Amino acid sequence: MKSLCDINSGCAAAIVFIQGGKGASHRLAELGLLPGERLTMLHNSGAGPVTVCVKGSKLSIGHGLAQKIIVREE
Amino acid sequence: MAAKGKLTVALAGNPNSGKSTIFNNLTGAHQHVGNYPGVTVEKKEGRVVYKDYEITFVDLPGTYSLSANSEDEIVARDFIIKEKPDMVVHIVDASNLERNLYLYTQLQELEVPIILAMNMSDIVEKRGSKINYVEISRLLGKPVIPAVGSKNKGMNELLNAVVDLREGKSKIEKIGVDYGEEVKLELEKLAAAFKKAPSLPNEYPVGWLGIKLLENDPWIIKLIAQLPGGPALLLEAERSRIHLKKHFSDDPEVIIADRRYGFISGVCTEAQTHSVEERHDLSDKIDKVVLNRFLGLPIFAAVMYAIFKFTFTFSEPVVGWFEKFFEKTGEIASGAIPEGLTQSFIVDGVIGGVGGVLGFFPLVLFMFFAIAFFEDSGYMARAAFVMDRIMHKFGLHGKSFLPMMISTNGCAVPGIMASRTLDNKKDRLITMMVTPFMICGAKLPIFALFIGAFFAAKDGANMMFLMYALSVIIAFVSAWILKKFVFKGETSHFVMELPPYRIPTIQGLLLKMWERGWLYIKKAGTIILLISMIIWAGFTFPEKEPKEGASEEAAASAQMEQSYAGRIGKFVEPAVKPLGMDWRGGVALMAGVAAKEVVVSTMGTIYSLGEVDPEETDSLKEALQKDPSWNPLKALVFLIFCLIYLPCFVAIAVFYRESGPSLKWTLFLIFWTTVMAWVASFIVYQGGRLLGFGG
Repeated sequence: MKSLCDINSGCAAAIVFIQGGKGASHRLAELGLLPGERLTMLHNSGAGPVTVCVKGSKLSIGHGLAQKIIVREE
Repeated sequence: MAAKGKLTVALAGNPNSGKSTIFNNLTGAHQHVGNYPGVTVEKKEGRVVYKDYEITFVDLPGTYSLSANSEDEIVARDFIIKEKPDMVVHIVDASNLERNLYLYTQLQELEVPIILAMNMSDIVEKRGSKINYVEISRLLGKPVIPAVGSKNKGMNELLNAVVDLREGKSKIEKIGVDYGEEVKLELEKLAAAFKKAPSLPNEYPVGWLGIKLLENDPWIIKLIAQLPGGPALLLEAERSRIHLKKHFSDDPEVIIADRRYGFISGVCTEAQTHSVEERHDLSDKIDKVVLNRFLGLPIFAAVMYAIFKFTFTFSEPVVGWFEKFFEKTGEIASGAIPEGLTQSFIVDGVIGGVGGVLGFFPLVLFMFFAIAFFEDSGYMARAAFVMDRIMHKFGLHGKSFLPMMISTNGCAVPGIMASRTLDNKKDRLITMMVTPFMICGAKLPIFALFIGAFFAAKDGANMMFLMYALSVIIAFVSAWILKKFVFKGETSHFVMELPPYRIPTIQGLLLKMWERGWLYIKKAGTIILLISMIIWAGFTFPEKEPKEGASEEAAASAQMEQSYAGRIGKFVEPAVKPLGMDWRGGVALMAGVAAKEVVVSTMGTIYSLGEVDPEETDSLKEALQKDPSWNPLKALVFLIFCLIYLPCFVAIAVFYRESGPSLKWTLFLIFWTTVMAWVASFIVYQGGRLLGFGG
């Protein structure tokens, strides 16, 4: 299983599940980061936050949180 | 024709949806800013008369959602529920339809008439996508108006829609999110339980309350828990939550968000045609550079430097005119008013004090303009991204950058309040504690004055940049210490939307600049004026007959020293002496606790009272240069002290309220900043002397 942090810039992935605590997964869900959602990694420098394109807008997600988003690379 | 009546219309929308632009277009100059009752979130209102209706537009805080994640979201939903506006205009960024409609799914649950204004419809077309607005209107059962806020298009159509809705000419249907059988069943159960509870405040729609309970909304839970019969209701809700959790093997709040996005996705598929590969546009290319691991920080530093360069280069001549203006006003007043207490009061107290602060008004305006430019262009959100990595190392949150920026932008008060966007209490407290270290609009005059007086003009912007860098370093180091020793634990998660880049509109920039600038003038005209008068009186009384044969200069300085303010200064002098300051610095610093601008106005009063010949009023800058008790090292130390020591009264009061309210943390803030300021100044002054600077 890969986390969002393991996806290289330019690659696409789909969310499988989110390991976050209650507050985090609710917030992510509201922003459209739900299981099944497809996203494109725009920017992943290996450290610090990543930027993804999801539902047509750009979200920047901190490294720690991105590690809890489990994805399947496409 | 007589007026048909008054209308209140709330404007809701995501941040960056162009809400402010449309609000400005609609209301023009007829706006005013206040606070929502009970909270400190800004409330903007504007009026327009259209087709015999007097329409008041209320700009709600920009939010992505109406959950209880932040004060802004609660204010927005409370306004709609409690103030009952006649309708809500939901401003939607049409180029980002899915994300923006999430707020809509929640707005419509509040059971208020809604009009959707599809802003930035031109961008959609430019991208080659198409939105069928008639279809969206049919699918949502609400009037939908395409608009382009930046080009002032669609505003009349919007106003027409408001009037039509009021007059019952438009069709409104209740079409909501289908949450599915399981959730619906639980909502019905809850609705039945609500009916049995006699004490429920009926201003909240029952359906909405049920969803909020399933979502585990802390705000609503708190509200209901206080009611008689509330605990039983909460128990019922908890049962429903457990049931749903078992059924879906996921939290109900996640299921609800999922269903909402499902609904939106349905609407978008029906009403929107996409072009091939839409989003890899210029914005992505810019982000590749701006967010680059290695280039990100240098670019950020360059942007900050550009802001200061711009501010100082272009404001310098204008500040000069302002200074001349106040000098001349002082001279004219001295000529017109006979010598004595009245003259001294007007010239030294009022003009010397307030003039010193207002003289820097152009500089503040230029600064606000430059920062507004980067805010509106979308860069500031990137800055938070770039800063997150570093800030994380110091125990801060990437989002903490925004409160700090707001403080730099204008004032620590909104900065402290902006830390509400942080979810975690410890993160919030740390952010609130370090935010006042930033150079706010009120500290700016102090820095401008001393840098102008003691450092060559060409070094001005560099020196200023250095001071800003120093403020950031102090904030970071202090955050690190706090995190390490006081607020231990994990830093919460960072997630935020990066808005697309946009070219800011001149109108928007000017309005923003003016709003913030006007607050500065208002402060100078009220609080600062009052304190200036008090300080003038402090230096003037008790009056003392000059000694026989003493020169006028000696008499003036003897008078000041034995005045009330002088005595206070003498009293604190031992504390500031190791920092290279005399009693005058002590008084100015103490006065600065009231408001930081007062440091400058106090200096203004001291030096204009000290002037011997009223015909020869030097500017404060010149007076400082002439005073042998100052030198660049002492000026630097004075600035460092001003940078760090405790924030003004208002900021402390807001800190107190926002921290809990917690007296403990407020006292800690006062202690912490004072000690830090003293130690840092001491090291720099004594170190500088050892190295042979100043003396």
